[in-house]
Amino acid sequence: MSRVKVSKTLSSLSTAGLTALAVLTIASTASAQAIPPPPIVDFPLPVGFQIPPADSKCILSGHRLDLQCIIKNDPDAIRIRAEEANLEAQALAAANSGKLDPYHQVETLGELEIFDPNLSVNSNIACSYCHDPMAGYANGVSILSVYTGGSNPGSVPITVAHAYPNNRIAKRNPQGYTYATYYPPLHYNQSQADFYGGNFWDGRATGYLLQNAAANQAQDPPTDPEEMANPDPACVVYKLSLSKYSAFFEKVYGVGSLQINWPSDVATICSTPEGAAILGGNPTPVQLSASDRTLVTKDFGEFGQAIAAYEGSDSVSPFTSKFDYYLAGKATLTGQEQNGYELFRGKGSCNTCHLDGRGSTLLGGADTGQAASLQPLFTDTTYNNLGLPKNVMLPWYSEDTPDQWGFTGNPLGFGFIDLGMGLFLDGYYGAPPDLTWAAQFPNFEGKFQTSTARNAAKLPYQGFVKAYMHNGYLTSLKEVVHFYNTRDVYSYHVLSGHCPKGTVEKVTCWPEPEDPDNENMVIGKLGLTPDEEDDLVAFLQTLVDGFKP
Amino acid sequence: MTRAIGYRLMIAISVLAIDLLLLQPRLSFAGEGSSPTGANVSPTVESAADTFAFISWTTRNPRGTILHYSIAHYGTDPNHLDLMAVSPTRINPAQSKMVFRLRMNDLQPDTTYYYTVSSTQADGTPDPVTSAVQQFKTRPTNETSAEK
Repeated sequence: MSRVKVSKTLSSLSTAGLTALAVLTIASTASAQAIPPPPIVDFPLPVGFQIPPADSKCILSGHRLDLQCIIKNDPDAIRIRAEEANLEAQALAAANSGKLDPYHQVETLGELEIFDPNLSVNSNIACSYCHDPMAGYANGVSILSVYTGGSNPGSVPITVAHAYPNNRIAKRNPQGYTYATYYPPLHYNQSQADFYGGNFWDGRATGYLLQNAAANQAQDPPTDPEEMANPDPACVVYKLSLSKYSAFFEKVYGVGSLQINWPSDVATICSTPEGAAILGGNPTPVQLSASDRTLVTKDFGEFGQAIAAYEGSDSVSPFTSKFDYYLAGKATLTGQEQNGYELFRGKGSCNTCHLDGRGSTLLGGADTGQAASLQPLFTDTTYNNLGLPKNVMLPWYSEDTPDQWGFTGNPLGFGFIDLGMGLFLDGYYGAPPDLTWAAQFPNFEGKFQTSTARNAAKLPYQGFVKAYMHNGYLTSLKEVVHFYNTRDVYSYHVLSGHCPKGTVEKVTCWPEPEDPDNENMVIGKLGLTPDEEDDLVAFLQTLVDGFKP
Repeated sequence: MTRAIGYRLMIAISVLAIDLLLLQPRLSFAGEGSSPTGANVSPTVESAADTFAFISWTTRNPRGTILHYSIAHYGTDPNHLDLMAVSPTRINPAQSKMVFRLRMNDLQPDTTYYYTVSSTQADGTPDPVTSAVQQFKTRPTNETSAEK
């Protein structure tokens, strides 16, 4: 297996520069050698999951999906597009009502942007396609949770004959963005010697320029080749200028904001996907004057800020869970929920990272917290490697040959190792804003952001399968808790889909970590009973917004 | 990809320059500087498979940074513990005690290993912990589970 990484055991922590050079060298060499994914031997469907009849014709051999077929036929995909249209219409009506105060004007503008499919290169997916409100603003297509790790197809179909996947598709499970605006800009805390804040699983939406990580995050998918695939930020602004809410944008951010002298070929360029060979790697192929480029940069920043405003609004991050009412003395937890809460801040060690505003009672610790925060975020915004196995179901591993645009999403194929924050620190996405951060690569490779536990339990309907973690390897909260509880008890040196006979994957067998370095050891052997696991799940369900006391 | 490699080269050069300026390691782990008068702990082997093993020990809450590192120096010769395994963990400030756990990878099957453990804060400051040399044996190759 080609590994684009360097084992910490072999590398000195004082020679990060050499490590970066080694990574560079290995990446350069390995890029020409795509490794095909292994056949999936064992693939049990999640308990209770049934393939929707409309999707049955979309199942390919080898437990793969015809993504074009899913986009067209899957009932969740159809439901989400209907929800998008409805919410966009509501937001447009609100924008045109003339009754919004300036504060809510910004939020409503962000809502319009989030539900607008015309902002993608092929005018076919909105931000909300991958962030379904009914699923806690995470993946809302159940069958994708089962077959693709929750990763969503993007705007660009792949039309090369017999290509799999037949649509560009993201490499990770989309992270829910409730409470994302409460994460500070990414920073290295010198006293803690640790990274805090940022958005995205790997923290690459630092938010340093806008001083708003969520706004920075909102700018990424519109130009990500696997997602909305615009070839230039100017294309997003161009499409805003053509939108039904362009006047509203200018009402919020100033008349003339969208008055840009577009070149005659702007429509052609902006319908060409990012990564197309014809663009020659130019990150700004739309030819603009210096002043218009400056205006585009301003508009694109405000585009992100409006989305962040919506994400931070009461529509998305309202602090209305049962637990919030419990903290306010307006709701009572059931016995099981209360026991789960005690486990959450005790034996389960959950609140070591998913901060609940209280102390821990583990190992004799005193709960000195007096509800220090009445709006705990259930995350410390740090990064951890949980030791998740590689999810062999990700279509990303097969996106290793050029599409009709000459773009190859993942030249390494199955050899790609998701190093999480390590990818960001070593320049996978470009230079991080602080080059000295690269020295932290050995300590942060393999780490992913601690998501808030809020709304993790939110499902569109009973029976919906939700994908958890960056690669969607876990498909229920019970599995999540069981993994935390037994990762190191049922640990096997095997790949997913190849657990030994006599074991059951995700029950009595956990395959080896995708990246064994920096594995967080708070979890792995918690000693919880099956009933205690259920109690923790019951508590997590109290963190879903929308509770009515 | 070309752009990414360009960025990586820029990063690598930058970091090397910083390394040369500082001429010192960013982290110095315990075992290289822990206090000889520190508390002695008795680590236990949670489980050992053919190629990996889990070690744990309990101490008083060492305080300091939230992020800590569990460290083992190990090898097949008790007089030459040349290999090092490091696992990050996090302390909960409200806890009076702290369980340190560590995973060793890339072990040889059916082999006796010797080890000592220690821990540091995230910035490399050693915790006042030492241990005597301990040992365990990995399982043969046909027994792959870490489960006892």
